[in-house]
Amino acid sequence: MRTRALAALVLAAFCNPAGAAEGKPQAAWVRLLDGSRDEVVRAEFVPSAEQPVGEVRLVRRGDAVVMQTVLRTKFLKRVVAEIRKKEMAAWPRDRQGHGDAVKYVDAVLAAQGGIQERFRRREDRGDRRQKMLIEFILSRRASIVAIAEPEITEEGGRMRVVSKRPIAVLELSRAYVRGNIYEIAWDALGLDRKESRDILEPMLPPESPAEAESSETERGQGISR
Amino acid sequence: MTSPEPDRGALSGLESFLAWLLGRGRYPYLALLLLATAGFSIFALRIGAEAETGSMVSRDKEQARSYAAFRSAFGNDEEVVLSVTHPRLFTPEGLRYLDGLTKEIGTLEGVLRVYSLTNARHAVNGPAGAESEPLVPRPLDAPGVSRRVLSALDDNPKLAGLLVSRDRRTAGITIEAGERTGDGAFPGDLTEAIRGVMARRAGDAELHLSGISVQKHDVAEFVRRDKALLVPLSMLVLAGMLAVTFRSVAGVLVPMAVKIVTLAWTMGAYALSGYRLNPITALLPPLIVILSISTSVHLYDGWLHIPEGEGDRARAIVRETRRLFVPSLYTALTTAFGLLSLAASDVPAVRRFGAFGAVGVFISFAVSVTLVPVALSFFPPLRRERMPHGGNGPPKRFLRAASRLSTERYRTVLAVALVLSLAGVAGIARVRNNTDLVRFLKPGAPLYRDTLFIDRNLAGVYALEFMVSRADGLPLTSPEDLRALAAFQGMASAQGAVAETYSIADVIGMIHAAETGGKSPRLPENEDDLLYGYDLLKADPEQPFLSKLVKGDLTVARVSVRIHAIGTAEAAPLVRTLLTGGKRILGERYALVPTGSFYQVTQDSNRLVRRQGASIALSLAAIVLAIHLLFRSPAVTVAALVPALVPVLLAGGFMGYAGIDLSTGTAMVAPVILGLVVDNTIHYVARYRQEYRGDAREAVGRTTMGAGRALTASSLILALGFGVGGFGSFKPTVHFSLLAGGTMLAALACALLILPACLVLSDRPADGVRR
Repeated sequence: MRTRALAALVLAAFCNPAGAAEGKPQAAWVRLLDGSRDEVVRAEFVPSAEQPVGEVRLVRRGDAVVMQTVLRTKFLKRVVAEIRKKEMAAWPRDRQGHGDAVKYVDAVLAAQGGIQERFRRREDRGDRRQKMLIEFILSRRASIVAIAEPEITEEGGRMRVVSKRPIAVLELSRAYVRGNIYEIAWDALGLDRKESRDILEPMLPPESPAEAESSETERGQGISR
Repeated sequence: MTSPEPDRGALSGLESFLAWLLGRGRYPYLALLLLATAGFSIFALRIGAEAETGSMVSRDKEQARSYAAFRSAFGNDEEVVLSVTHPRLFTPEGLRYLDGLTKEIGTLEGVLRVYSLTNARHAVNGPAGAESEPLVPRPLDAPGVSRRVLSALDDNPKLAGLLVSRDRRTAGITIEAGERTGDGAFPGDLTEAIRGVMARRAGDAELHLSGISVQKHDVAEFVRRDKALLVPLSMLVLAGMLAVTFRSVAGVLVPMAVKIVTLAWTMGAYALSGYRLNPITALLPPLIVILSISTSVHLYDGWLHIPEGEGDRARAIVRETRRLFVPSLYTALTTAFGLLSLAASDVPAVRRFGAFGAVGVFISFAVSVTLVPVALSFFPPLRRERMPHGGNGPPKRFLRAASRLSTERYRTVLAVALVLSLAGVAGIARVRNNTDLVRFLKPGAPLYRDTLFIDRNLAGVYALEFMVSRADGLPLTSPEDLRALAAFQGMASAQGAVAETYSIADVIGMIHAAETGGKSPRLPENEDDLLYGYDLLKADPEQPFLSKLVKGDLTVARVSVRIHAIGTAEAAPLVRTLLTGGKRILGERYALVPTGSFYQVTQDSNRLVRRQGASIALSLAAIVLAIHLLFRSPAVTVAALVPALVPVLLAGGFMGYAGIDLSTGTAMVAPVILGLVVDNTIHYVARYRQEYRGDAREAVGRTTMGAGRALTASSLILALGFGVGGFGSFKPTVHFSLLAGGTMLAALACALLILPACLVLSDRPADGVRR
């Protein structure tokens, strides 16, 4: 069960949001959620290329930056449970953003339940891996987390999302989304702090001084998972 | 009646050869013999003991195929169990002790995995479903550890059965060994290493060690010990017997020289064939020492009877050797046939024992008829007054009494023989077919004590393994599949000798209960949940249960039925019950294949008994043929067979009344003994035909007085020689030896009483006129 725990640990690290705002998909987000013209900047299998349970990708989507996590695992329930555990540890009750974290976790748990239910009714009994797509999206005007159930194929050994069934879109604080993009870059993409700053800063939209400070502070505190 | 008609041309050729041998050939022969003996001795002294017991298992193809499939799917089934009885087991002190012992054993060379209370994990319900958690929480001195561990054990009775005794005073450490090296031994001698740790760490605790590889290790040690003890001891006893019988240096040295040469050649040939000793073939050296005595004793005794003042001593020796050559050849043939009949066995060790025993008999014959004459040519003939029991001593009185009894009261003798034979037959019906690996050892042996202790306190020492697969070859991924396994286990658990049963159904049941928040194990009700359980197990490198309980492609499941230390007499019907019940429960949809090392022992024991009938029949047929060829008289053949069969019936009857089981060791007694006891008959009848001049009673009197001493001497020597095996480490060795020794004494009585009575009876023509 160590492998499962490790996988969950890694996934929890990059799926951990910091501050969230619930919201229904809006027309303005359609372009933000359209991955047809994604430009992948960096991608890594997690927890390892040998036994992947998912893939994490840093994507440029128009003017938005997307930290995309594609999960394809038999242990989705355990991965989500681990996400919840880490989220609650990172966003305790006395910290601002705890409410967003709870909403995010609830959304992920609910999504997992729905995926599980559809999984039980599936026609293809051969593949027992459940799939989930989590995207942290930051543009000039929006900061959202989108959860979906994707259809995945493999191309050249990489996972490719060919279609997706949207489940939830959460509008979260910019500092939260930005902070988590950094966290995922460190933990899942194998970048150190300088490398991640060198790659992400030119891509990410400029922030207000307050948000930038908040984000940097959290990074400085090392909210590592 | 006429004397045997040997090939005169061959015998005159023999006479010429012996004359040359006793003349110019003496020294070259002795030099050649010495050289060859030295050469064979080098190899004979290097024989080791088998580290594996593969040669003790039959070569049944179906059985071997199943076991190979089992090993291929589930790996090595040789687990070692170390029991730890500690006065304060469930205190921090006791748990620390167990933990230290577990960790130290885990570092030993050759150990693959170690499981015990302190490193075991169990499935508990967590936020994400089933979580694997240590059974004993850390730190070990944390408050409430003892209570939590005991509670967890109560919740997992199956796990508890493996890890701790019912009274919670004894814990078990299960040690999974790695693969053996090329020569069949574990690297670094694992058993010795574990015992070293036990000796160092025992302290307040009581430790016991058992398991198949420990049994193999100790059996190899016992074989080495027996080899070092029994051969010199039997040599000593036989030398003493020869000294008492013949009261001369030559009477001891000459037969002893024959023995040494025969032993060196036979065991040298055995070693050169690439074989090592096992509990069966460990009997070979003492057996050869014993079997090689007969011909040399008869030849030496014949030499003693060469009349005083015989001019040409060499010619007299040649004549005496020629007289005894044919009967000795036939006795060698019948003994060898008895041993060769063991070739009917499909256990390699038994076949090897028979084949090399026969080789030894022929070597002994060849050496006896050459070395004894050559050696005797160096000694002056004994003066009559120095001859052993030359006057009217007790032996002569004994022989005279035997002669009188067998001729004057032959009907009574035959009636008593008939009654005893019938009693023997009734006793044979009581003989139990039972091979008990533990009780093969003497009660004082550490392995005997350890194994029975572990058997009493933990979940059995043996396992009957079953492989269950779907008839359609599909993976066992349906909930019905696991329900079928569980039902089979339920039926097996209800059997008396069964301590516990384990299968993948138990583990999946525990995981599913933890996954769904249930307390008691329960099986998944749909395929997804079942496969999820498999996936969880597959992903857990800490708990490699899956590969031990189900084949990688999930098509074959293992049901391990742990049973107490019972013999095959109980195990064989248990196997039948489990198979019959299992097939009824599983139906046509599943295939049920029994296997495992203990199952093989059970089957082999049964097969051995069936083959024993074939061995005896073969031995008997060969003996009848040999006697008939020698004497060319159906009446004599029948008369000669009766005294050969009676001792065998008596030996079988004694086994039944004394409660001696028919096992791998004792099953060899009858065919071997049949070949031996007929020796007396052949020597007696050969002499009788020389003495017969129309009156059977007179001929019997002269034969008993003439050949009786050699028969008595060789029989007593054989009986005592076999008796040495009573000091063996294995009960089958002890039983084989004592039975064979006792049978030799019975055979002597038959040769001196029943055979003459039969000859007197067969000499009475139907018209009442004596021929």
